[in-house]
Amino acid sequence: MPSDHKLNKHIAEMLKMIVTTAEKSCHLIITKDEQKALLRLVANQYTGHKKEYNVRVSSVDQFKFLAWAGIFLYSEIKENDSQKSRYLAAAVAVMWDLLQKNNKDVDAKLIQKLTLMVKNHLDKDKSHLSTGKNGLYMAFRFANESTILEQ
Amino acid sequence: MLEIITPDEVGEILKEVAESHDATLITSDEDIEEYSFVNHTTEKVDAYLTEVARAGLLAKDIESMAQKANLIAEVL
Repeated sequence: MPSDHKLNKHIAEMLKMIVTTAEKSCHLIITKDEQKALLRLVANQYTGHKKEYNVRVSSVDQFKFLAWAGIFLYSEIKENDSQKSRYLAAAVAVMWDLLQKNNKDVDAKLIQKLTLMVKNHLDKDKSHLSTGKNGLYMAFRFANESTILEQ
Repeated sequence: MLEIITPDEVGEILKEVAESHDATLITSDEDIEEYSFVNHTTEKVDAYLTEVARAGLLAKDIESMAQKANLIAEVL
């Protein structure tokens, strides 16, 4: 795979954003080995998603990648870390920032509630009170792709 | 100093995962063109990622993301 491949660069940058945000917000470290393990988990999830929904990939979906990365950080990579919530928060923060880069925004309290619902799903399996990795992804994708109809 | 995965390493892992699933792999820009479009309105985000890959993350963007992370973490 060529080193200048756009897809690879974008994925590396998104991982860098999560790593940098976790470090800047609360001095937490995601090692390079953990970044590689995280990418393997997300890539495996992508493969399953492609098959189930017959998705044909033309580029990386930023919100899908970041949502799944944040959740795998919490549930797999940092599973035994007492501050694992902070890694999930870092990934969601990156998604929120990219949403704003696309001139869209959502109220902070709604994003807090959404992230808490994801955490509940991962911690307590309160399925009737929670949402999972695809819910997180789709919430941001809906926010990103919403349009205002003309009257 | 934070150690960050490189684009080359990303490519190696994507290839490794795809081969383990015997799945189709995006191996080049030409291959990408063979796939049909998914309609994402993320051109600005795409352009932003291209720019940060070229010039690096700005301090103000890092600060913005860190502030958001702290705000989100308040309820977790």
